[in-house]
Amino acid sequence: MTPAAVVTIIAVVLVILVIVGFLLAIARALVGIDKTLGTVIDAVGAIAVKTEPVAYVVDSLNSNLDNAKGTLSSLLASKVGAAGAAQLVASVDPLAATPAASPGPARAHEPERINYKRASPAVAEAEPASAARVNPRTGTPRTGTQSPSEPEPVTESPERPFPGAGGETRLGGLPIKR
Amino acid sequence: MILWWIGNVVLIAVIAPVVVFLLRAVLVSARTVERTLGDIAGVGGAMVVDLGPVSQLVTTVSLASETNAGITRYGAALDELL
Repeated sequence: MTPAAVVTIIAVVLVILVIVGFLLAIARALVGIDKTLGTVIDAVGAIAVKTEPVAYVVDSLNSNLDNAKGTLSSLLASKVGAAGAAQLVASVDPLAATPAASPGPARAHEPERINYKRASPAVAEAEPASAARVNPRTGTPRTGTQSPSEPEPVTESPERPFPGAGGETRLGGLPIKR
Repeated sequence: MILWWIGNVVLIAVIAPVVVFLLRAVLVSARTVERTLGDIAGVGGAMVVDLGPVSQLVTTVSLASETNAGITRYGAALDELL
């Protein structure tokens, strides 16, 4: 056997060994991917099951709220008239007096979006702790027990007493039809 | 014989590095996909936890229906009173 043949055989064997090693590592990584995909599919299935009643619930809530709004609006309109109803609502609710084209107050009612990136360890480490603890609506820091999706506590304003309190027969400065 | 030696040099100096480079690229991509899938699985688990209260929306619907009926009765009573 010539020296050239020996070198060829050694080189081919080395290349084959390297290929086998890399292919084994790739196969191991693919097995891990397969297992993780199984977990992801299970999670997605659970999400699909849990979000199944949302459409029905939202429709029902919208229907109920629409009925309630219609009832209250018709009651108010029957007592003080359409123009008086708008004036009365504006007198007791400053937000209702704002023009509809103004996006300012309306944005305060937008639902807070959940940042699912927090579940990623890499992103969680990269994010400063203080950034996730600030209320986006008010800009104030959150307390330790307040969750991001927790609504703000409602505080009663003394300037907005209950309409008709004190035995008065006027609502928001408007006479009531009897 | 000289051509054989040239072939050996090409095999060792060109073919083997190219094979190693390509296989290493595939391995790095596979490991990156594995890491990313791990992050996605974590996010999916967090979403499942966050969606836990969704089942309570059935109670919310019931309460909304009761509230709607109450508002209707309250409005009718107010209509009679005022």
